Amino acid sequence: MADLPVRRPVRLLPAALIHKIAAGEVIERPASVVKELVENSLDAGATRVDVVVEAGGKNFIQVEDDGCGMAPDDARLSVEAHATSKLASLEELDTVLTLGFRGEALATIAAVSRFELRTVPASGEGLHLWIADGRLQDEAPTTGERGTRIMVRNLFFSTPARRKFLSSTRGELRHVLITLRRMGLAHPQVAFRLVSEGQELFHWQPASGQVRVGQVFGEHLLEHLLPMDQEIQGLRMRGWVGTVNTFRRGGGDQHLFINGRPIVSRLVNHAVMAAYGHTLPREQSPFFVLFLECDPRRVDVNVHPAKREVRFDDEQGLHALVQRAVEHALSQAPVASLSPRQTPEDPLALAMERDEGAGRLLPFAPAPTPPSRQDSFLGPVQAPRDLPFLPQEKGGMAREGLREYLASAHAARERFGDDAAPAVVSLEEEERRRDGEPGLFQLHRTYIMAQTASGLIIVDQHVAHERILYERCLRALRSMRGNSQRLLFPQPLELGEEDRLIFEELLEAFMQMGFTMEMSQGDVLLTGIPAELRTVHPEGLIQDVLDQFRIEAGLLPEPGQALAASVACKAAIKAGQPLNQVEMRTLLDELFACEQPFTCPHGRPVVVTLGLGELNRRFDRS
Amino acid sequence: MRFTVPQKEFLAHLQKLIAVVPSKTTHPMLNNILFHVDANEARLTATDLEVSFTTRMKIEGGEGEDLAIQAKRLMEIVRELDERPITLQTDRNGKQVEIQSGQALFHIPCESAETFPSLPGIEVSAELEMPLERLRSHIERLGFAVSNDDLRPVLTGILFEFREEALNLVATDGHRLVRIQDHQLAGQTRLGSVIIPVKALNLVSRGLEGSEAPVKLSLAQNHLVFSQGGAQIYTTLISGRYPAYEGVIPQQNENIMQGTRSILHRAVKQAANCANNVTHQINFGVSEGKLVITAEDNEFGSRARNEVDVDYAGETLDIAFNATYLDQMLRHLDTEQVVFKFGTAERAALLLPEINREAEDLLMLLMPVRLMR
Ligand SMILES: Nc1ncnc2c1ncn2[C@@H]1O[C@H](COP(=O)(O)OP(=O)(O)OP(=O)(O)O)[C@@H](O)[C@H]1O
Ligand SMILES: [Mg+2]
Repeated sequence: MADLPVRRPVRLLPAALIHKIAAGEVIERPASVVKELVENSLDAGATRVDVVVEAGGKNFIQVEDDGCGMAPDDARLSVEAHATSKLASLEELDTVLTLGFRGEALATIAAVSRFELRTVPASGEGLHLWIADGRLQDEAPTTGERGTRIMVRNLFFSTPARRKFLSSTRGELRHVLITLRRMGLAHPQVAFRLVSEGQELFHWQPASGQVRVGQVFGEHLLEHLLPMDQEIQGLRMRGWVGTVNTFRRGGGDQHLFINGRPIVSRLVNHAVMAAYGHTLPREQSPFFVLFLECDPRRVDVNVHPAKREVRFDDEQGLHALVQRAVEHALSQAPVASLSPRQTPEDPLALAMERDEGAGRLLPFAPAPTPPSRQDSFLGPVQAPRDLPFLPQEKGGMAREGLREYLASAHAARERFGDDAAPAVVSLEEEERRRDGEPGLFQLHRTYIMAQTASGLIIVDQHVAHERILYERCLRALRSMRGNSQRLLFPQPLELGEEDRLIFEELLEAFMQMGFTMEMSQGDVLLTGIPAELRTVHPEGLIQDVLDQFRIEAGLLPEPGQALAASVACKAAIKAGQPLNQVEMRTLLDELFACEQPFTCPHGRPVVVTLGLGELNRRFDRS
Repeated sequence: MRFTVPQKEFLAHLQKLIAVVPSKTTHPMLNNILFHVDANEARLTATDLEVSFTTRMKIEGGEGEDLAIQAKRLMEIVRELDERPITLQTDRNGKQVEIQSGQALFHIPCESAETFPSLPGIEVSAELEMPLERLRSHIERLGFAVSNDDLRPVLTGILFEFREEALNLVATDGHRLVRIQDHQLAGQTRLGSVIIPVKALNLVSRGLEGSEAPVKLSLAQNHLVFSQGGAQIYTTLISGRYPAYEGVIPQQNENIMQGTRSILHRAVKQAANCANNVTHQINFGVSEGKLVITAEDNEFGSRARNEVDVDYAGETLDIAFNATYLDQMLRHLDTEQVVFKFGTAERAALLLPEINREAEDLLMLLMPVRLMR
């Protein structure tokens, strides 16, 4: 049995201290209950933590540990507000190493649920107590093995408004999973188990840090990780950073801990990304698990009610240190992990590398960006079939600019008298009939500039195309025409637990699009893909959609929208792609035909206008 | 280096080699052709690191060091020359090569051969000869079904499976599959199973000469060399497991339709014109003695319907396909009559020639498009 922490009795904090501690909402959802309870178990020196949930924790949460337990008096006090054994004075707040310190969690949880606590200390004489609505209902002495079991039923039952804000069972379960994943990474020496609806989702045995990473994310990930362990200026930085194979859109799997406490920090994330430099494709981020350890006085953990954020004494210094450490880890990459598909055995390739005297390859080859041919959804930009129409909704300045552009384009067309033009025109014809119009200009292969009657509009080619594809894809989704090209070789989808839950949430939308699958015992076998989809790698697309959904779940309320946004973003032409006149025209025309031409699905602007007035002013022309 | 060669001959060699030179590469050396000359013969090599092609060319007065010359520039110059003999010669400091034909004189830069990737020596573990023409006809009927997506490398090659009963050749992109069983090459099991990049095979098909002379396949670990006459095509094999294709070939497709290939082919192509231009979806409605082909594009507002007489006595069936795939398959069959074998609307359909060529069996398989209703 591991050494137990020296136990102090639970006592009420002095009033001054109470005010010093950031009060606030600790418990927002079932996962926060799990987090608080598991933290308590860890603080109590547990070597195993068992979590059971039902309905994603909305109906039932149980956390059981083999920690030090509580004597009956302590147990009674533990559910009172601001009762803690972990902190006695203001001074100690600077040096807290336990996960809890406010003495707030149990009281808060007990106030919003039917709460049951059964705890047995080393003496063997324990207590079982029942609380509802924050009031003690009953208690009874109990005996047995040392440890604590807490059960939380009907979370937020007394505040129906709060309860309504909880998401689906799968959504909540996903949060529980994320929470436990973090705790599990930080405490590999502790066994964790999660049971949901009577089914064991995982059971991680005590392990080394690295083995635990494998337990949590799947062993296949380990081959794509580089270990790091460095101590600079009293800051120890250890963990794993991912190679090119771990690059994903969004920031799903980036796990940061300070002194064993899971936190989020833009600063540290940024430092890690900076270390990858240009080897990291835009909008992608690598996998990492990073443990920072330092003198607790150098970090302030008391800035966020759920202790999720921290403040550092020297932020710039920290940024530099982390970046350096990660750069160092990356520089250790063995040649074999350099490129996504390696052919190190290939003597020709090897000979070539040698001859180049290339010892200095980039640490990582950028992820291969498949040519758009393969993943274009619903085809490339097509020549317009109709005159673009203008939606009624008003859109301020930018819309004015567009109206003018359209008017002039239309006028030019009429001048050339092609009213009877066929609906579909060849590119050459299109080029010819546009001849009289002022040309479009592509700036840095990224922006399209077009003259309007009163100035200039600038369009971001990538987001414009993204918007077009997004609406097209959404239309296809909504019209439910998802015909499905059957696959000759059904593809197993290898999804982590979290992704599986997202996948199940999106299942219907996927099927509507034309994905078909067979499911057996949690394994998903892809048997068909949308007939519109040109790819031999649908798994990649699905993974992308899941990533997208994870990032944007809040912004795109409909699962179908996340799906459409992800497909669109992937298939859209990228910045850097040269476009000819016809392609630019087509892009603009299709953009104007969109319902919302001015923002991309992620809310970024698509069009910027620059009026003649503004230009005149700048040139002092008045 | 120095040699003289007839223009026509030189151009023919360059044009073949240029097919190997990668269009985009991060290794500028690969834009070159390597020249190795002996008194009466030059060996020309081009490579993209995956496939290399070496040809032998008759020359006169050959001598000197190996040299690498920019392939495209050289070919363009040689192409525009008349039929007089051409003499190539390096200048004094070895940085330029002089190309002379009659009064015309060109200088282009060249490089020493040292940094040109050298072929590793290989230890041949098994060898086999087959008629080039036969191999060529296989490649032509398989190549179209190969995937061109690098995300699943094994599907970008053709599987050569040397079995006791036959040599099985398979190409698939996960939506359709073509298999040829060549019984003439039965029993060559020493060669095992290899996946050969389609680029190398196309080179074999188009780059090697004549039809009578057999081509020799030499296997060495992860490499395969095709040799014929003086020419050698050397390719790395694709590593990885080829999907278990045999399990997906249906055995019980009992709804059998037979029709005239040219009529079916034309009907498919016609209907495809009105199909959605992204999905290319066309529908087959089969019933006794009759195939109704329909297509529509709601977005564009086009529709097609056509009836074809066929021999059919199976169940009435509605099944949809990608017309592009069907078109390619029908084009690569050459019998007058073809046979479709359907299972259900969800399952793979088979397409076969009515009569197989001598000592071979050809099978094509196409996955349908499932309709949402
Ligand atoms: N599983 C457990 N085993 C042993 N003691 C526990 C356990 N859970 C809670 N306690 C005791 O109950 C006290 C109150 O717990 P609570 O979570 O409310 O506060 P805390 O952990 O001190 O601070 P915080 O609000 O920051 O979590 C703890 O200080 C600890 O002494
Ligand atoms: Mg606590």
